[in-house]
Formats: sequence, C-alpha cells, structure tokens
Amino acid sequence: MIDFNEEHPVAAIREMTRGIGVDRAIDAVGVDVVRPHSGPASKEARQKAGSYKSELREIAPKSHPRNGNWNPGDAPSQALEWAVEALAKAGTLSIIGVYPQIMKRFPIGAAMMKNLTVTAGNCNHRKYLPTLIAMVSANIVRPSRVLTKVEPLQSVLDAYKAFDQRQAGWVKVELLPAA
Amino acid sequence: MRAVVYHGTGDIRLEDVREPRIRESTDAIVRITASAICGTDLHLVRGTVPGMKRGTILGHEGVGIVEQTGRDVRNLCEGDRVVIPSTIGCGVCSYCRCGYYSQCDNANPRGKGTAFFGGPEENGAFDGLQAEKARIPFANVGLVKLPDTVSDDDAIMLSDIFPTGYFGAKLAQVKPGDTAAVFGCGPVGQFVITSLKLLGAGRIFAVDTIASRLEMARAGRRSDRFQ
Repeated sequence: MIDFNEEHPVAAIREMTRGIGVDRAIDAVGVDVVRPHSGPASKEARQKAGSYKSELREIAPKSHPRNGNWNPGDAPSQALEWAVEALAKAGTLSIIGVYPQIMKRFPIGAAMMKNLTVTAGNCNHRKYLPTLIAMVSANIVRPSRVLTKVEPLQSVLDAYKAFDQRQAGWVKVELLPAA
Repeated sequence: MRAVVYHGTGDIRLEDVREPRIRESTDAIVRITASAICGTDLHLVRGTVPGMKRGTILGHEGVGIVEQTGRDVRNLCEGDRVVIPSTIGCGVCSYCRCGYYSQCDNANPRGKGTAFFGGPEENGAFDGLQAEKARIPFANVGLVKLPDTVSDDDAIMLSDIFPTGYFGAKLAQVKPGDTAAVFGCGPVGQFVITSLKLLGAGRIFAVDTIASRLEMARAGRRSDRFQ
C-alpha cells in the first residue's frame, strides 16, 4: 500500500524492487487524477501545476464545480507519468482508467526509451462474463466485498455527491430502483 | 418510470420519463433490480469526458429481469434474471467475433466508437441503466443469464467493474510471479488487484491516498477465497 501524499510512489516502488521497477503497471484512475498536495511527491507536482492546468483547459473547458461537487481532477496525466516511471525496462503499461477522445498528453519519450509495451482500451465485457460468473458462482471470488453502500434510487443525487467527493465509505454504490 | 437524467455539466436530475419500448427485433426490455454509480459517470457529470447529450439517462451497470423480448431474441425468456454488460456488441461483426465487443462495427449508430449505456453522443447516446427499466439493444448477444447462486450484490459488480479490472490485468500481460503496480484503488482498482492475483501475479503495489480504499485493497487479500 502506497499513500502518494506520504511517499513518492515511484521512489517507493523502486526502493521495494531493488531499483528495478515493476513488470506491469495498470492505470485505474483515468483523467480525473488528483495530484499529491503533501509529502515528497507534492513538490514535483506543484512545479507541473501550470502544465496540468493547461491540459485540463484542453480537455474540460466546460466544467462547473459547485458547492464542493463536480470538481475535475487537477493533474490529468499524472497517473500515466508515474506508471511509466515506475515500470521496469521492457515492462507493460495497461490503461483502463477513462480518458476522453481529445486527451493528447502521454510521456511517449520515457516509454520509448524503456522499451515499454503500452496497451489500452474499453473493456470487452461480454467476453469475460461467463468466466467471471462461474468464478463467483463457485465462491472463488466474492465481488460484493467492494460494495460499501446500497441506496434506493430515490436517494441517487445525494449518493452521486458523496461518491464524487470520494467520502470515506463511498467506494461502490449500488442503486435499487424498486426500493 | 423514474430515471437519472443528464441535463448538463454538474446538473443531473431524478425524473419521471417515458418507459422504454422494443424498437429492433434484437431488443429486450429489462426491469432493473440493481444498478450502480461508476467513476465513469463522475467523469461525465464533471465534464472531463465531454459530449453528453441533454436528456440521456445515465448509468451503465445493471442487473434485472427480462420483461419483454423482440422476435429475434430467441435465447431469452420473460422472467430470466440477467446481468447487462456495459458495452454493446452485435455479436456478428469481425470485431465481436474476435472478442472485441467494445469495438463493434454495428452497435453504435453514430460511428465506430465503443457503444455503451448512458454515455456521450459519440458512444451512441444510449439511454442508461439508472432507471426502473431499460431497452437493451442486441440483447440476444449481450445479456447473460445469472445462476441463483449469484446474488444481485455480487452480480452488479459483474456488469462493468469486475470485467474491467480483469481486462486491465489481461492487457497488462501479467504472468505468474510478475510484480505489478496498480494506480488508483477505487472500485475498478480493487478488481484489478483481485484479477492480478487470479492470474498469479507476485508482489502487488497499490497506490492511492484514501485510507479506506488502501485498507480495502489490503483486506481483499483476505476476503477472496482463492488466496
């Protein structure tokens, strides 16, 4: 477990892998990255704040934050940069966090110099469903461990707001239309 | 029926809307018993994934009961309990037949991009699943029947986030023994971690800053039975 407001994630991963880096990295964040605001990684992120801001202007010129909700992240390409830096030479980057069509920033030079394989895309859900249903049915995996809130559809707007603010306990929200 | 409707960036509403009807012979109408909110919905409402059309019903996760089927949906019956995959594929184009359902040539009426429920115009602007009922295009291909042994609470995770996490681990070409770093321990990140372990990864480094999410990533090591 690495808290990016306490440790620099790339430095921590390098240290724990004897300087090698990881074989595989998965970006499960996507465009709404919140940059570190404390700890050793924050200084570097602060220096890049201007560049992140212009990225955000490119991709989300029309955001409307109000009352502490609907704030875009403040460092769109941060997760991609860290992932590329944390990878070992000849490692693989998998991008499943969602980026909009118009996002154009990626640390291509660093990826090239390390012979990385970069893969990305939208999930082909139907392809995996039979396998995963069988695993759940056989009690091999219990996916509902990630479910933290069950709300009636009636409360959906409050649920959106709490989830948007990443409030503690709001990891996955199930909605019940009939409740 | 009630549904969550997109009106603009930062403006979503719970409204009464007209019930969906069968339009194509491969459609089904599903009464939704469980839906969910995904991080992707937040990107859409925040405006960081732009292009939503006003009036689109949000949501791309759903479990429910088949209520009505078009005449070419021969593999499902009224009353079947199903999980709805977030992305829509026709099942017969070259991409679907290779397993690239999210790159289907035919499902998206606006072009060749990924077709999914409750998404932007360029993804088909299909009405989504945060509603009491939904029209499911290519239901004969997409919908998968659920055994009684899988509860709605488990099944709703199969609609998008568990397959997406599994897909992420597959894309990463993970082999037994590999070290892996997962950036983001939200719902999808949690399933990336589960899937990495299913595929035999060695050490896994989970990166986030929210204590409860990091703790859940650690706890996952204990609660899934295969570990």
